[in-house]
Amino acid sequence: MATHGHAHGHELQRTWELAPSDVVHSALRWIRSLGAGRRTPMLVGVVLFVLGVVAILAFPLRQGFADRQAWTYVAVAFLYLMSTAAAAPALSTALRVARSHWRRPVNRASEIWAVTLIIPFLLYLLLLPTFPGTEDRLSIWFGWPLSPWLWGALLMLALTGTGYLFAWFSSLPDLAIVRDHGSPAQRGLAAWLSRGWIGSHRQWRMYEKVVNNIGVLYVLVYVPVMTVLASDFIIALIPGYFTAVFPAYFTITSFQAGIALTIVTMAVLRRWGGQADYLGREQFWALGKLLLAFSLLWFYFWWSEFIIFWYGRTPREINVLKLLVGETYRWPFILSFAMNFALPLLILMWNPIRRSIAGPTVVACIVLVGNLIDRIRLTSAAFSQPDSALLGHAHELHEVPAAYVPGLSDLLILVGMIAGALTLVLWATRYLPFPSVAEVVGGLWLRSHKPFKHARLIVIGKPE
Amino acid sequence: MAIREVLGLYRDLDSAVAAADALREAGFSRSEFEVLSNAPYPEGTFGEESGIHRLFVFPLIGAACGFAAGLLITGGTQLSFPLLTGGKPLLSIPPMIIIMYEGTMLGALIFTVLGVLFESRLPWIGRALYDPRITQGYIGILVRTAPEREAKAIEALRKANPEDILTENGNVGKQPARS
Amino acid sequence: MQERHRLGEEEITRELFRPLVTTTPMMWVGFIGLGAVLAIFVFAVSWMFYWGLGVTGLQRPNMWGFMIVNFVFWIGISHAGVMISAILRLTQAEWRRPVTRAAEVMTIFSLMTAMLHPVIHTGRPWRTLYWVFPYDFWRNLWPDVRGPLVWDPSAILTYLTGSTLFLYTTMIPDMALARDRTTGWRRVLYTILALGWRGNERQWKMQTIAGFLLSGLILPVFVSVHSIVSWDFAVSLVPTWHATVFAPYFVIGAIHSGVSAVVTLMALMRWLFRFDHYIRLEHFDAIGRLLIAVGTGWLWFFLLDIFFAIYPQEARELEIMQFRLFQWPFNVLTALIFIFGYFIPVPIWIFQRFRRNVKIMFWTSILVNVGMWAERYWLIKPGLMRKYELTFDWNWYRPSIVEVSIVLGSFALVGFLLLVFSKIFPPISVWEEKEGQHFAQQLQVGKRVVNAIVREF
Repeated sequence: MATHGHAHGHELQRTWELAPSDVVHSALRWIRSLGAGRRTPMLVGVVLFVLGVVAILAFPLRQGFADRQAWTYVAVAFLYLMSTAAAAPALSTALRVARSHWRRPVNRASEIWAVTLIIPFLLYLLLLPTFPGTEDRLSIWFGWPLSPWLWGALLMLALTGTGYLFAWFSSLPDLAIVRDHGSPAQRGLAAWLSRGWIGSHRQWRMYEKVVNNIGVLYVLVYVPVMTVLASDFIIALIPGYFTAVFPAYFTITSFQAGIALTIVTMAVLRRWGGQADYLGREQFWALGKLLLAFSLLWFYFWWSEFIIFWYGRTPREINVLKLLVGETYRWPFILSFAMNFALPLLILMWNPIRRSIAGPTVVACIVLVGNLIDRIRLTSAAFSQPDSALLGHAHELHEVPAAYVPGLSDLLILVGMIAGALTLVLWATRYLPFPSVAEVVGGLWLRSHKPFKHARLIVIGKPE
Repeated sequence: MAIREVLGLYRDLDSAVAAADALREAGFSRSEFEVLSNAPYPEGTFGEESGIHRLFVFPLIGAACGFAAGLLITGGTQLSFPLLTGGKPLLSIPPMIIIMYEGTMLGALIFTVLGVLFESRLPWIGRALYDPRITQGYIGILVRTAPEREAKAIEALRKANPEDILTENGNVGKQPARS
Repeated sequence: MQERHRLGEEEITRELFRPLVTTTPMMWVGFIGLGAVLAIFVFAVSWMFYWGLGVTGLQRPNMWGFMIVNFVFWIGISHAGVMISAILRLTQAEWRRPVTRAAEVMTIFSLMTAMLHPVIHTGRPWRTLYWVFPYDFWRNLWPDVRGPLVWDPSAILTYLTGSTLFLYTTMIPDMALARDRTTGWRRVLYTILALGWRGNERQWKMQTIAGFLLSGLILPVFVSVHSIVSWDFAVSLVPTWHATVFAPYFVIGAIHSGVSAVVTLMALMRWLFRFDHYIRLEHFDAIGRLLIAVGTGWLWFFLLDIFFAIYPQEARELEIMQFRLFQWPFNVLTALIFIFGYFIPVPIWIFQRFRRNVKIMFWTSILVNVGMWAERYWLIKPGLMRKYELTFDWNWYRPSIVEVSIVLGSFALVGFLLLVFSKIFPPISVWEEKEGQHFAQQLQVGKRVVNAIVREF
């Protein structure tokens, strides 16, 4: 494993040697090339989504809200979208706040997922009636009036609203490009969304501040929302599951999935979206490191809970471990352990793999599947308890329930909702050009090649 | 001694780079001279190749040793004195993992530092030409070559406006002695 | 905005070596003041050894008191070194250069101070060490690895060894510099420590790689250390201790208090050693921004811990929570933790104007650590003072003057060791400052000139 030659990254990614006009051309090419390439997958997506909606109407809804187990896969779809699509914009903010400029071509790829938030929001509204009130059961609302229904819905509404605002503001300057140069079909919406944007000095200064602040606000709403969801959907539905770290586990692993989703989006854009100039090894490497770190955190947060239960050994802790780890959902757990932690660690610990494009992409795909399996494990376990097991402030899981095996309708719901989210993203790409001109052009002058004696250096500007 | 050393001292970066160039023009290969400085310059400044090293092997070996030690201590002490505590299994794996983890990391850390020292050839107690002015900010260019090429090396080093040129026989000055 | 001063090589060396050669009156005050407190510490510990643990406030069921709380606190402070030095090295943050050395040294000294506590807490430390080290394989006598008290030493020793090696490796070039310009005993010392360093290209390359590699290796250790300390408490069944969130909660608290302690240290170094050219306002600005995120993360875990302790609505947890939220003195501590740990400092740090004010940064960082000490006490003590299923009795814990002296003395100990260190070794990495000058570049766009840096990796 010797390092040879100039392996230490003394090569500058092509992105930073482009002229601003090149970037604008790429973006224009993007908005003008809307054609069959995207139409077919969108069509498939719409069909699958409609099938999913029909499946929801035909199965859980017909069963009624009282039978919570019938809603298991609606909840899985909801939580999975919250863990992936809703987490991606938070990554975008984190990278912005950290002032790392390699992120500039990446932001759009993670922010665009905010447009899917309407689907989890609607799913959440559908799921709310399946929960009993909190007066007579343990919950993080402590019997507060109208909980969890009203307050949970308000939180989700805040998140959805902030997400759309974030997606809108961060793409304002690019929407103006579509407004001025797009086809008449695109212009309408873009013009409406980018009213008044002329790119004045004042507007740019406002833009940077506002995007930063809305992004931070999004994270500040996202974390409590995930805390509440982890509590309402999982902890409160499993009697005796007394764990304070679980909401943190749920949130951190969602960030992990959000990173994975961004990496996969980047890989797709690179392969089929003509973004090879913008999304290169630099971005995959950096996000690969982040994905590795979060895969380690997956283990850390899981272990923090496990070791306490394993040492506590009270009957209720043993039963929870049997349900989630040891017996009922043993195989989903093992798969989730392997795909969220073991495989990412074993693959990404090697620097040459981290520094490639394929390496992080493959691991990101593994993590996306692993996260889904993890959410299936947790949700299935939680949704298999009838109300009677929860009421009266039940403190212990007296009987470990059998595993819930999904049927065809469950799979249709899951696939349909994910397809719906993908369709929304594909639709949004009509209005949001790749690369993001505002981001990339704003960073072009911050990186350059400079000859220094016999070396050719990469110089990185630190404007802040 | 079959190898002779010559050390040229330069006040600034430009003349040091020029000296390295002069040496290369005079037919000295890059392995025959090294650049001494008081802080790193960007890699490749003096036209050096980044050398081959095996530093990344060290932490792996250390980690393996530490892991094995942790496994032996935790597994061994539990099995050789089987005492049931707190209703836990006689061979309790979760606590073993914690100590094995620390052992692995300790091994990796110690071996990495050993590797850094080994790859930097430290500690180094041999004798070689050196001048304290190097840590003051002067750049030293140390040539190691056959005795018959020593004069050629001095000549090359002189081309780049040196502050001083030291040989094993003492300071030979920046200009050739007038005869 | 980074403000940059172009300093000459000689100027950097002279200014950064200044504390080694001159002792300012303020440093004398520090030495004498801290030395006096340290003498009290030594006296208190000796007193305790002579009379036994009866001179402390420890009694059944309060067998863990001030010393263990202080142990947790100092382990927390020790997390700053790695937090700053490793993360900033890995992200190639330029503002790390003047901070890393001091932070690493603080890690080592606070870790050593922390380790002292459980040892003296046994009352007869020499016997403890005799029975524990080395393992008595001959008579099959050794601590059970299933008990968390064995994990602690393994984690702390790993961390101490790792961070000492880390610090030493990055100090070798400065030892060579000191070797070349000193005489007498100092020269002998530095010559030995410099290991014959010459500063050729290969050695510098190894230095750079070592910085990255060791940072990457020590980060997972640092997370494990405070987690394991937290499991000393959490794997038991004591109410308010047996919480799954303890590990990450302790770690984020450690980062919060540790990074704040680095701010304190930076301000002190600026005032004591007049390092204004090196520890600049932009560094306070950057570390203040970092602290906003860390503090907010800490608050999240703090709230998780409280809310999910009440969540099961079990009598024994509720009683203790009631006790520590509403009864004197814990109600005051609760307020102290919230207000000092978060609600005063973080809103202040939001404003750049305040982040760039050394005095404000100094005092807010002190506040955070007052809050964090209170938090450690608040977490550990109430659970022990109350009766529940597995205890026979309950009692108040009142620390004695001996324990108070030990706690105050531990601060003096760390401060004193830091002062001694800066008399012998440069407290800011000289070669890294020079490297920063070598790697500094500028980019020009239109009329704006932007400071830039050469990418190292």
